[in-house]
Parts: sequence; C-alpha cells; structure tokens
Amino acid sequence: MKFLIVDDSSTMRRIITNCLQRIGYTSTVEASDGAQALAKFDDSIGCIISDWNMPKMSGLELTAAVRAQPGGGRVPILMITTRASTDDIIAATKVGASGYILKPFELETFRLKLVELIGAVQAAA
Amino acid sequence: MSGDELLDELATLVLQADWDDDPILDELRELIVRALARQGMSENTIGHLRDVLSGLDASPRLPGTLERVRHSITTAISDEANRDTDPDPDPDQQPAKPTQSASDTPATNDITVSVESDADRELLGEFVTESRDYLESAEASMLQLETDPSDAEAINTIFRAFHTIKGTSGFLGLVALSDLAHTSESLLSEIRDGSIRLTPTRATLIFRSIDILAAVLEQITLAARGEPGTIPPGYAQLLDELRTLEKDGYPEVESIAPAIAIVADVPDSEPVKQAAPAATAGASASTAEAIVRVRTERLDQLVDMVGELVIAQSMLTQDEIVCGPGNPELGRKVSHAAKIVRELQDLSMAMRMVPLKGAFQKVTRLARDLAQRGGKAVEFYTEGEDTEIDRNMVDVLADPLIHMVRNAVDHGLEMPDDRERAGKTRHGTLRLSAYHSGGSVVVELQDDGRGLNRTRIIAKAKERGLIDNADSLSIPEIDNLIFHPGFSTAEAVTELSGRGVGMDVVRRNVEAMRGRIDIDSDPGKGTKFTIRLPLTLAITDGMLVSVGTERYLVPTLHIQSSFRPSPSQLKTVAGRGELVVVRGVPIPILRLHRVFSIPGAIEHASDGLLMLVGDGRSQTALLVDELLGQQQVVAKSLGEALGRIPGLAGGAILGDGRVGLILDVTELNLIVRRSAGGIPELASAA
Repeated sequence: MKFLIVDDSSTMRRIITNCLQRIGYTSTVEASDGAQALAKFDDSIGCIISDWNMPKMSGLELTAAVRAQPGGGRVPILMITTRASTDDIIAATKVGASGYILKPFELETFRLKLVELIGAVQAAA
Repeated sequence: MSGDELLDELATLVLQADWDDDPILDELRELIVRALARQGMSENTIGHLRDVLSGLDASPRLPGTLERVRHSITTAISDEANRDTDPDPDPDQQPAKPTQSASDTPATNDITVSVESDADRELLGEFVTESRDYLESAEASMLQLETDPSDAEAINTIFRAFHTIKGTSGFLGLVALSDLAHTSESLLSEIRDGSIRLTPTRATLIFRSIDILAAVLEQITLAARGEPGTIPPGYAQLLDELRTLEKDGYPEVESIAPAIAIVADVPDSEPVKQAAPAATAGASASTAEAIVRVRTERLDQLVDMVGELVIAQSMLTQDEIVCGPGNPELGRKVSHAAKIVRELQDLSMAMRMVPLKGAFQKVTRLARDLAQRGGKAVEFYTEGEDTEIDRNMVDVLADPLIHMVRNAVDHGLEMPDDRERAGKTRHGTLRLSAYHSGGSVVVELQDDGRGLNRTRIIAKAKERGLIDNADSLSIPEIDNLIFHPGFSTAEAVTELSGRGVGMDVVRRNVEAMRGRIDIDSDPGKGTKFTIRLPLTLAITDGMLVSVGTERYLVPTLHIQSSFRPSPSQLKTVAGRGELVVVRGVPIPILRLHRVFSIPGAIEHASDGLLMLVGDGRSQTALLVDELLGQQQVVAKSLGEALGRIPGLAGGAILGDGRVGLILDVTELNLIVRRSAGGIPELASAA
C-alpha cells in the first residue's frame, strides 16, 4: 500500500515515514502542503496521512478537496494534529477525515489507528 | 565560593530536600543568607533569594512551597547567568552545572538528547536545521507584523513556526523546546484570534522566545554530539513570564504604537508600506527545490582552484605558439577551452554567492530593539536585500552593519520631541540598501538624523591628540576622523552602543575585504554611509601599470581617474611636497619608483601618467609610466619569507605567467601623508 504523507515539516514527514517503515510499509510519497498533496494524489495512493496546520492549504481543506475528487471518496485520511477540542474533531469528521491522532504519539497507537482505518476500507471493499 | 557555585549548591540542596527534614531547611536558609551577603549579585537575583527566604520562614511545609522555592532559585540562577552577557547567549556562560541528583527533575539545567543510531542523528540534524529556518521566518514575519498588525499571513507564519517546533520536538523528547514553544504558542494564538493586540511588550516576548528557542537548538546540537548541553540563560525567566501572563489572561498594560516600522524592499524612495514577499514566503518553499549542503571549505577550494585555472588558461591563451600564425586550429581549440573556463568561473562564483538578506534581517531586528529601548520612533526601510555577495564576506560585513545601525539609531537619530522641535517628523527614517554597481556591491545606510557635528569631532580629535588644528582639513577629512581608532563622540554611552568599539572597526572590516567606506553628512539633515565592496575576494579586478622595469596591479575599486598632467597643474608647496591640482583641489603626488626603488622609471610627472587613487578620506596621485590594461588576478599573500611590505597588498600570477604585485592603496595614501608632513595621518597604521 502506498501512503501520501503531507506535512510542511520535513522532520515530521521523516518521523512518519520511519513509523510506517517500522510497521512494514515502505511505499510513500511526500508533500509539503495541501496543494502539493492534491497534485500528487492519484489512484495509487492507499492512505493519506496529513498534518492539520499547513501553509497554503490546511489539512481540513485538503480532506475536503480529496473527497470532492473522483476516486477520492474512500481513501482513508488520517489527520495528525495537536488540536483536541470537540469542535475540531467535529470539523474534521464533517469534511470527511477518517480519523485523527494527536502528536506526539506512540508507535503502537499509530499502528492501531492505521489498522483500524485500513481494515475498515478493506472490509468495505 | 563563587556566586555560581553558591547558587549551584542551593539548587542541588533544594532538589535533594526532603521537605520534612529541618536541618536541610536550616542549611538552605544559611546558604541563602550568605548568598545575599555577597557582593555583585544582581538586583533580580537578590529579589528572588529574598522570596525564597521569606517563603521558608513563613510556611516551610505548606503545599507548593517546595515548588515555589525551587522555581525562585532556578530563576535566580538563570538571572545571574544572564547578567552582563550579550543579547546573544554565550555558550561559555551557562548557568549552574547539572548535578547528578538533578538530572531527571524539572528544575535541571541539562538538555539530554537520546541519539541511538545514525538515523536518529540524521533526524535530529534535520530537525535542528528545519527549526532554525522556521525561527528565521518567524523573526522576519514578526518584524513585518509589527509594521502591519493586520497581516494575517505573517501571524500565521509565526504561529506555524512555533506550532511545528512544538509538535516535532514532542516526538524527539526535547522537553525544553516543546515547553517554551507551547507557552509562546498560547500567546500567539490569542494574538492570531484577535483576542489581544500585539503590543511592543508582547512583541518583545515573542522575539525573546525566538532567540531562546534558537539558543536551545544550539545546545541540542551540542548534546547530540555528546557534549554537555544546558538550558540557555534566561530560559526559566521567560517561561515563567509567559506562564504568568497566560494564567492572568494576558492583561493589557500598554497601548502605545510600536517603536519601529519595518519596510522591506521599497521599489523607489516613496515610503509606501508594503508586505515583504520574502518575509511571508515561509519555510515550506525550501522543500520544493532539491538542495545539497556542501562544506564551505570544499566550496572555497573549488573557487580557488577555478581561479588558478583561469590564470593558467590565460597563460595558455597568450602563449606564443598558440597565438602564432602557424596554428589556427590550436588557437580555436584554446579559445573554446577559454570560454568554458570563463563559464566555469562564473558558475563557481555563483555557488558561493548568498543574498544579504540574513545580514539585513539581523540589523532590522537590532534597530527595532534599540529604538524600543532608546524611546525613539524609527521607520526602517530595506532595499535590495536579495543582492548577492560572496558568502565569505557576509560575516565580515555583518559587524560593520551592526555598528553603523547602532550608531544611527543611538546617535544619529534624535528623540521624537527634539525632532519635532527641529521641524522634522517625530519618527526618524533609516534606509538600508544594497545594489550591484559595475563589478562591486554597494551597501548604503542613510538616516535623516542630526548629521555629524563637525565642531565636536574637531574638538574631540584635538583632545585625543589626533590633530593639532583643523585649518588644513577638508570637510571629508574632518568627517573621516570618526574612523580613527578609539574615536567616539557619543555623549551618552548606552547599553547597546557603548561597547568601546567604534567606527574604526567598521573601516577596518571594510578594508579587510578590499572595500572602502565613504561618509556624506549634512548637519541637521542626516548622514549617509556608503560601503563599496568587490563582489568576491577570490578574484581581484585591477589595472596593470608599468613603473620602470616593474609592473603593478592597482585594484580597480580604488581608481578614480588617470590623466597626463599639464605643467600648469603641477605645484610644489613648502612642507607639503609636490602636488597636482585637479579641479581646484591639491592632491599629493607619490612616485611609485621612489617607494619601491625602481631604476629607469619616468621622473617628471608631466612625462608620465598620474593615477588618482583613494577614497573620501584622502586622495593620492600615483606617478606611473604607462597603463597596460585591465586584468583579473587571484591575489596571494607574499608569503612567510617576505612578510608584510608597506604599500603592497599581495602578489599574483599575471596573464603572461610572470608575477605582479598588488598595490595597497590605503597604505600608500598613508605613506605620502607621512612623508609630506603637515597633513594629518588619518588612516590607522594597523
């Protein structure tokens, strides 16, 4: 499965790549903001992991834009954020985020979250 | 026991204290009393220690006392370490040494970084580099935001910088970083949401956060290398201030306008405030381009080698066999190679060119801080910050810029009330600009302040014994007295400008880069400093001249004109030697062949050529036989065996393979003034 990692911080992208590698996923594409991510999004992407607060296009806007694209309806989108208010979670769910995880997170939390998201998609397929 | 050691011991004791253990409390009390009795503690530290003492006496066992005492002492320690140090944190002056028992408590001054593998080290390195970039763009945006508080993109950029650093440092276990970033972010988020305004005090807090975060990053770099990393001075105090403000709901305490308005890159002299595109670009842009980091030594070696290649190539081009009529094919091949070498030279030079932006940003920030502290209102304009210069020169230029901006804000610009009385706007204007002109970079700093006070300069110069009287001095010569070592006309020595370094350092740094600095001052209206620098130190542009059997290279930057004098222009004045009068100005003549003892050279000025060299401070007419043409050379020092020879800056291999000597025009000016007598020696002999 190919992951699209979206974060304006290259360190964060690397951390997420490392986490994915450690749970067995090695195929990744990176983007440093929402607009770039949108350009790189295609059928080959199996899951999007995106930061919330980014320049140009936020994670929320990206989620909405991906959902509006043909073939973008079902791809799991995991939001990584330091936000935790109920309003934020509602906002993320509304635009179509599949789940969110707070940073900093433990590898195991990350793994379980991914299993949940990817499993849900695969079960539906 | 030194102050630091005493405070160290206090900290250790507090950390070890079992709060039911009365003897420790007594010992603590006694140590604090001794600390208070010491000379040389700062007011702040004494205050904090008094707090501790009263806390201990009043209610040693109340919940929270330990926390308060611990906090007061931590603050006292960072205060003490912070005192008398530069605004830039000095890694040598760290607060309390970490103690064994302190290593895992919140009050420790250790920064620990776990580096288990090369991958970890790489990740950490990337994090530090990226975070620095974020802080830089946050600083630029802060300066922008102070000018235009409604700039949403600027506040977002700053917010994102802190937010990202907080988020990522959390992963890497860098608690010191994430704590401070988090607390600052809280303040920023209130400002972003419009709940509170960006007052100068709040802006200063954010600037301090940027500085301290940068200092923590430095320490993290040390710690990652296995050296001891410590919490930088001022950290605890800042964190405390920010937390207190947050707890109190950010009370409004002032409502004055910012001390400085920053305007970057104005297209012309019209002072229209506009957003600086560079400031809002953010750090994300860097991910779009692939960038390779190269060690600077390697780059320098490359540039040097290419310089040698250029010379070798030009020797080849001028070779008799190549130039000769019998080998048109060879000539074509050589000139093809020459073209490639020239392109290679341009390319290698371009690799070492960096924009002046960083240096400009540094002084913009400085101007802001100085204006705020000095109670002055300043509009700071920058132009041409994308002008590029050899990276080796940027650092050397940074110091002069800092001194000049400091002088301009502290001494050049008047207080708002004084300005108003003089019929000027209340805010002063500082304009820092850079541009390329011919083969050189020009950096100008212009203020609309009081201008140079020449009466006071003369008085001071007499007092210092630099001159006997000012009768024979031209206005530029008087103005240039301020570059004399140790000269300072500042009446009030302020915290930031009174450091005992003056404009002589500025001139020395500029001249070390083979550049020159000129002053243009209009009393009551302002002063303009103009620095002219060669584009690079790797290659010297010069005019080759012949003197008898010898040839010399005169750096182009110093040449004003060359001409054959008419006999009527030549004068001999008692006590001042031989002069040539150019447009009414008498200029001393220096015969190069006498300075360097060369036989067979032209003796009479009217038979040879005079080359006017110098700068605003002084001019000299060099007598040479002939001009041989322009040439680019790679300057070399004369080597150990010859050492310093007065009047010579170095040597170089010329195009025909022979060695030529490069003249030191500044020093020749000095020589002519010494030998003529009567004319004051204005240059430093260093």
